[in-house]
Amino acid sequence: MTKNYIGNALMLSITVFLVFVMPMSYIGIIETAKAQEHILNTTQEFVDMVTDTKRITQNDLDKLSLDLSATTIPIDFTIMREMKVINPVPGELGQTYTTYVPVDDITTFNTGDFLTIEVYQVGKSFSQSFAASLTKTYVPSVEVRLSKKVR
Amino acid sequence: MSLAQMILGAITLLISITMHIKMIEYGDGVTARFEERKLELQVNYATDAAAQEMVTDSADLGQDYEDLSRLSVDPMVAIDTFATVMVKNLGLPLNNTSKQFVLLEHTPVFLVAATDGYYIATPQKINSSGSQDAVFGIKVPYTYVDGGKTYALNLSLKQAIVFENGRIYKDYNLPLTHDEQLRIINTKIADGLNDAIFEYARYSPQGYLYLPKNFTSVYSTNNVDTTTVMAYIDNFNAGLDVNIQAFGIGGTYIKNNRPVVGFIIDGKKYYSYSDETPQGVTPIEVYDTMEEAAINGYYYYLR
Repeated sequence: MTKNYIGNALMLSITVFLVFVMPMSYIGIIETAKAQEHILNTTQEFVDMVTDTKRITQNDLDKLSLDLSATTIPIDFTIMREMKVINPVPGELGQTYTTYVPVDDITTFNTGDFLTIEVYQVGKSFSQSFAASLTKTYVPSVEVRLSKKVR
Repeated sequence: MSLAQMILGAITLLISITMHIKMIEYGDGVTARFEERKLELQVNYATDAAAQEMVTDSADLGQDYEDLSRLSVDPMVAIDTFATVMVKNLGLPLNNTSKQFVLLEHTPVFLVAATDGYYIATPQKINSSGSQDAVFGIKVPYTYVDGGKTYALNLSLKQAIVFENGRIYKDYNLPLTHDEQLRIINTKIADGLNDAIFEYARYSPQGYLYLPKNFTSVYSTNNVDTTTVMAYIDNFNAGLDVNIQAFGIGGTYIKNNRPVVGFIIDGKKYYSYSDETPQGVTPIEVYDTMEEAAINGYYYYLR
């Protein structure tokens, strides 16, 4: 075989790209897909549980964090409670308006309150960052926002 | 470079490019499906809340003891609650502008099925300067024509208002079974919904309409047999040139509370359901739930 430096270099770079770089990008996408499904299911379960029981205990929060961290993607979440408040309209007799006031206490809920949970990605997994930096592949980030009225 | 090497290289490159494109497509599809499921959850939360608030917040339900399934509800409460919950789910600030945005841009059809008819709200022009608002049409009754008689059915299924030869009367002996009545009512609601959706699709920018999968499989769900809210939402973007839709159904009903009665037999405090109280005892107190009775020191009366 003749010495063919250009051809060999080309083949080598393609091989490296195919064997090491591309699979990482695919793994990143598949990981994201799995994480999305898992996170949505977990969040939905939590929201439904809270709107049924009307309270959040430390145990529930621990379980939620544990469930959400069971993916390869670093995840954080915020839970917000907005209390339903009905006030009289100043100056207009007999008129009322409904508003939702954010409150710090998320342990108990009243009927009509809003429970909002936001789950978002705070970083990239190894394969995601590898893929993003080397192949510039678009890796969709995971973001779930569910808001439900307490029954 | 030899010819064989070149061909091999070209083929490898082609395969890798194809795979890459396929993978990106797969990623986009996954994201779209994820967004669609999320939207489905959100719209179902919104319709659920709308149906519930409509019953708890309507000014007058017009109930009578004879017929508890009869509810006169205020559809404006439902559409306002629906918009509020959707605004919260989309993370927008809660004000009238956001609510109008949700209703006008994303909710082509909003249906409230009340006891004796349904309302449909669609975005409509309300003045000559082009302002729009989600406006409810008139209440469409669940009519059924048989011979010379026109029946206006309702969800209580016990009676109907009959129009015959210029006179109107209430008929308690309907020639229709409950299932037949429910089928007629559901057909009416489905027809109204379809008409409204296709009317919208005629003017939609794409000129065609994707039916959400939970709408096409609507036959496998339960009948509409209580006060129900349905919403069809559209025009949500999920990635490049991907438009997603969703359809939500929320229902609610009022049921008879079965109070419990506390009484004393042989000096001991007992309670039982009010309709199962043993004969000859004097009721002392009435509670809404068994729990309340137990808190007050009453034991369940086992016969």
